[in-house]
Amino acid sequence: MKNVRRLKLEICGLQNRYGKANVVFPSDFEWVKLVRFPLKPGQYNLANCTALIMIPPRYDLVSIRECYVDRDLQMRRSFGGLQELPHAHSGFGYDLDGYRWLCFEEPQGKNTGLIGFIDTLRAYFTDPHGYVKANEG
Amino acid sequence: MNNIQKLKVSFSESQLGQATNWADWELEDLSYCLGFGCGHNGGSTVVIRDVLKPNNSEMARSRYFVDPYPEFLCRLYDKMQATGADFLIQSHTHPFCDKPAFSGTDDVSALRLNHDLRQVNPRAKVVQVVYGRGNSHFKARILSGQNGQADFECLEDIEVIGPKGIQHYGDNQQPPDQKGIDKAGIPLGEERNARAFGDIGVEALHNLKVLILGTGGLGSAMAYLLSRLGFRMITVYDQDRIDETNINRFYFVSKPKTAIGKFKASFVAKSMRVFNRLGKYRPINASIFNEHEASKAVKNADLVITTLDSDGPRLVACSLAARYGKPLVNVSNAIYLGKDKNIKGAYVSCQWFIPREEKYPCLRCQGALNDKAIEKELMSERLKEMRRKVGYVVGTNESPNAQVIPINSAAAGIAAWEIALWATGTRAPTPWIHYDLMNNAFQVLQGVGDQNCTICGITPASCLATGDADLDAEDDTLDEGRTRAVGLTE
Repeated sequence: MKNVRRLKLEICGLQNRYGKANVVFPSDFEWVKLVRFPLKPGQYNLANCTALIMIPPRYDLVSIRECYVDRDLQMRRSFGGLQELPHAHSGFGYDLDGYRWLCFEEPQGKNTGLIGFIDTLRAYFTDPHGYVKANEG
Repeated sequence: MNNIQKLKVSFSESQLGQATNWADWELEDLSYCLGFGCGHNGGSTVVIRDVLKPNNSEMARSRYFVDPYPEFLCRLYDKMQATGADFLIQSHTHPFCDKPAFSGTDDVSALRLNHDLRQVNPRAKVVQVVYGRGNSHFKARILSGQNGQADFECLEDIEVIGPKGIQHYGDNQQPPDQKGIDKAGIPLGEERNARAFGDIGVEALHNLKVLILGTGGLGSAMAYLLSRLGFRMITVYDQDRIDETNINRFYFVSKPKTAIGKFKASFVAKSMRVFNRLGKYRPINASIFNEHEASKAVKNADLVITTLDSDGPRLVACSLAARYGKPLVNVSNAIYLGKDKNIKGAYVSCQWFIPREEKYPCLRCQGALNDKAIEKELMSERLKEMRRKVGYVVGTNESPNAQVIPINSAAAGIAAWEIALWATGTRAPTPWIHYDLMNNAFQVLQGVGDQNCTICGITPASCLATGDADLDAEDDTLDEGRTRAVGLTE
């Protein structure tokens, strides 16, 4: 069973940070959706994105590892044009709902919960290639 | 209202010590405990989570009167709100009498507390306890408001769980264990046990409800020893069936051909009944990941024994034990092979986790679990499959570990002895016994609990002693962000 107590506290924290309307979740806490998740201006083709974070059935005994972002989200190249996000895969999970899987997790051995995962997601979006390179292996 | 007539309050030894450690017996004194409710055998149990005691500057006190100041009450209500606790136990003393009774002032104080508390949590209930001089006697009652009215009911039982075993205190009574023991009730077959543990000890073994999670080679050995030690209420829990590779390590098997294919738990329970007809041995053929069955089984047990063979299920068992405040013994063994396939190490381990007792932290805080293995074992099947498709996970299953019956027997023997000593109140259990069978070395280890641990730490996010509170995920405070899962089903 999920640690609903911890989730509720973390969702309150996220609502304070991003606004109540931007943090969406079902009553069974199967997932948490961050709407209008801010992205670094000019670095992406969208000003903000939707991040769908799946809460593991045995949260927080295990860390969050499953995250989906807008299927259309792409990075801008330095010299024009767009490129795919590293570790983003189409054809999995909620593909038909307009998302794609971001195979992304916290650095090995860390389990910092939902807030920690969102912080890591922010770090990823600041410099996706740099983040992947730093945490490879 | 009927369901709260059977209310039982479950303390740990250190919590009860803290709650009843009165400054002196000259003036009245006061303490508060926060707890969570959980359904239990048709009644309800309150598991105590926190103890708060006002100091001298936070209350007005005299020989016949005690009242906390509003600053302390604000702190108390804040804590209740942060943890979501739904029971408040108010204890106070009557130093002027041995056999206490509730006074009119106590009625007013309880009603006021009940009224204030309902502003913080409308579901919250107040339990009031009064202790006589020297804690020799106490009286307890629960205040149950229905539709704005308030009335009083008697509390059935106070249970204290800790290193000295489990003790029960009825309303204004001495522990029932020390009253009449049915001497004729101890069968001749347990006469030698009675010489070791005494009649009271044997009676305690009869009445202790034990849950064995995992009934493989080690679990069946534990069941075998405990049923012969005189434990009469054992529930065995396993989802697997006996196969040919189990037979050489499985206790109770006399005719291998008939045993193969049967559910392990059912087979063990039936075999125990053959030996001890007075026992109530019950099988549950389910997985530890079956939340409903596993939490019900843990809730109804007094002691949980895990003989599981991987860390993920061990951690799940640990979190359930923490949730319902049940002591847990983890019994395990391992044989390590070198590259040349020779035995390099053989170990037996017996660890205790007693929730709410600092000296006995959870298995994760003791450093006994491998986080990487847990992540792998508890990952959802969908994610495992997705990761396998993109090449992050190679292979499917690990090959089974080496297992031999003498090591199972050694582990079960050590654990059964420790459990018997604890259950009979002979001595406090050793937190962690580690036996190196290759070097014949016994080690006694001691883990240190992490205050921020989400299993055994006292943080608002921790699942420690939260009972059934989290089963009902609905919460009015988060309604604005809630939505229906439309368009998000696969």
